[in-house]
Amino acid sequence: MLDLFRAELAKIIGNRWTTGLLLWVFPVGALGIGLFMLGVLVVSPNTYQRMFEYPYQWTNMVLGAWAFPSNPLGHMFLVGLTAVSFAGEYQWGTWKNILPYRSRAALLGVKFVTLSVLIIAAFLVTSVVFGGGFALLSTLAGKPLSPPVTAAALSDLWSDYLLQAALSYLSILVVSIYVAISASIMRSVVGGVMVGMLFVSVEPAIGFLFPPLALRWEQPLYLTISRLTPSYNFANIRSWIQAGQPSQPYLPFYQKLGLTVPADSYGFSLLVLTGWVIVGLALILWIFQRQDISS
Amino acid sequence: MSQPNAIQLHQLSKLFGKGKQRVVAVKGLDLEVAAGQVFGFLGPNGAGKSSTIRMIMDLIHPSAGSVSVFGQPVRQDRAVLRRVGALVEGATFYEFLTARRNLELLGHVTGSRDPARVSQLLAQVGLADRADQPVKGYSTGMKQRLGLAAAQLHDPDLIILDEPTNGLDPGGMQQVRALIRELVDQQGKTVFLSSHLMGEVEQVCDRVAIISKGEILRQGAVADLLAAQLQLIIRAAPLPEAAAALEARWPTRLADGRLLVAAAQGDTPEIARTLVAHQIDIFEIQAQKQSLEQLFLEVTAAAEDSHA
Repeated sequence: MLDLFRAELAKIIGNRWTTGLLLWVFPVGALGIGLFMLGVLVVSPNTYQRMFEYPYQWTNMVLGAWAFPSNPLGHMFLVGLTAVSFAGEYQWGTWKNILPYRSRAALLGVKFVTLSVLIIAAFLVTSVVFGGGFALLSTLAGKPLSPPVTAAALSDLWSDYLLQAALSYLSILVVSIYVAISASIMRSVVGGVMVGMLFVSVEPAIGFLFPPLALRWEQPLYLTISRLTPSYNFANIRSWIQAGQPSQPYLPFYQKLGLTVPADSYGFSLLVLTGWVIVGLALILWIFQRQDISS
Repeated sequence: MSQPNAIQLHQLSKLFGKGKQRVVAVKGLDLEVAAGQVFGFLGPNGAGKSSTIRMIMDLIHPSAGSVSVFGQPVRQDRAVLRRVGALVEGATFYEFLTARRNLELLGHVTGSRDPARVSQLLAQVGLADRADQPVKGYSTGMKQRLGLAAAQLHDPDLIILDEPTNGLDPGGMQQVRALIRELVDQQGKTVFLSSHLMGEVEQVCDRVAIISKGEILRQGAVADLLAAQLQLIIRAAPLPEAAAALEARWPTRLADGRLLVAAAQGDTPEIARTLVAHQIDIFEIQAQKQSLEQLFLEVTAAAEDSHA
């Protein structure tokens, strides 16, 4: 398996334009922002000082790097990367070179693992660049670091960091799996990107479109469907982490229907998201195992 | 104990599409390829050659029948495919990587990670000088050469080559023919060669099978097939009556004031007697050994007629 991982890594990294534009753009962009700030310091020190008047926290900068891949814009980049990784093999006609020698499940699994490793590495570096860069720039502006770097602050950051990174990764994984399915069915990078973007755009919209339908037709099933979307469940988990209570965007709809408002637990949302991952993985494996590689 | 066949196909069939869109690509193919020979697999475009090869390599799933490689059924024991190297329907690679990187990457997949072997194969196919350039700058012929190297990378016992000389210049074609013979004669490999080029097949293959519309029309040792089938060139008068007298039993055609008859060697006396019985004057009957190309055209044309 390590051999397959090495091969997949060489393939993705070797596709320099794709990984450059869709993945390395994040850490390089973070570095670029830092260099821009240094430029501001050189050209206009007063402007630079004004930029640091707001009491930013370096810990938020470190965590903020992980917010990007889980928002719709960040998803778009990773949709492209996943589509190239999966549909590329069809488009380049290269599946026929490798499929006879390894199990299809292993080849699929290694693609997900390699993409995951690269994405995690890229955002790990991005968060270090953001946090470290901000600390440096802040020091150059003569501002003390907030919060001070203490063992307690680092411990708090560590647990928040793991949680934020895990949630972002889970969000990327859900999108990647469904992009991989569409890329494998359509056998085209463009097709994979299009369907992936549709998924990224339509899936959160279900949460807005279905509740009014539930009211119109007095059908609570539409509210239940909305509660099963990844977007709702990610928001619910975040709400439990940040506010210690469930996210209840559908409360007015349940009340108007005269129903008890369900308070979905943290565990419920994790279960639903795990369901999306398992069903997606089973689906792509089933499709790929049955697929004829005829080009 | 006898060595198992390198390839054994039993009632192999493949249908694509459903309902009215259904296409029969391969129909009940039975084929045995003994180890240690060059086996030619001939057929016109769309005959089912590539579909058959893809089923051997487990890239597409048979609708019916089975494929065994070295005695192991491929669908049940895919590990046997590690003994097979293939160049399937045009060489394709990761174009953003160099030739060397492509082979190294393939080596990770096939379990053959010897950099010296990669260099040796690149030199063998004449790509040593361009080995570290991205494949996207390669011509079709260069990609085919790289495909030949890739097919040999893990030192397989069976090498399947689908139109390996496509895009090669005459010198390159000759090198490939020599390489194929060397693989079999000196290294004891088995080569399954699919090709349109009859001259190429006639020169390198020990046995051939001719396939058309998914069915095998003829198979056997090249020498036997060609010896069994002659072309008789007959000068006689009147020629139209001569053709009419023979065409019920033998394929005939008129060309340059002569009558050309495809027949088995043993049929010559009977052809002569038939012409005499029809009061046709015979001036000359000349027997000419058929080329594989003539045999191929004749066999596939007859199949076309029977399907029509």
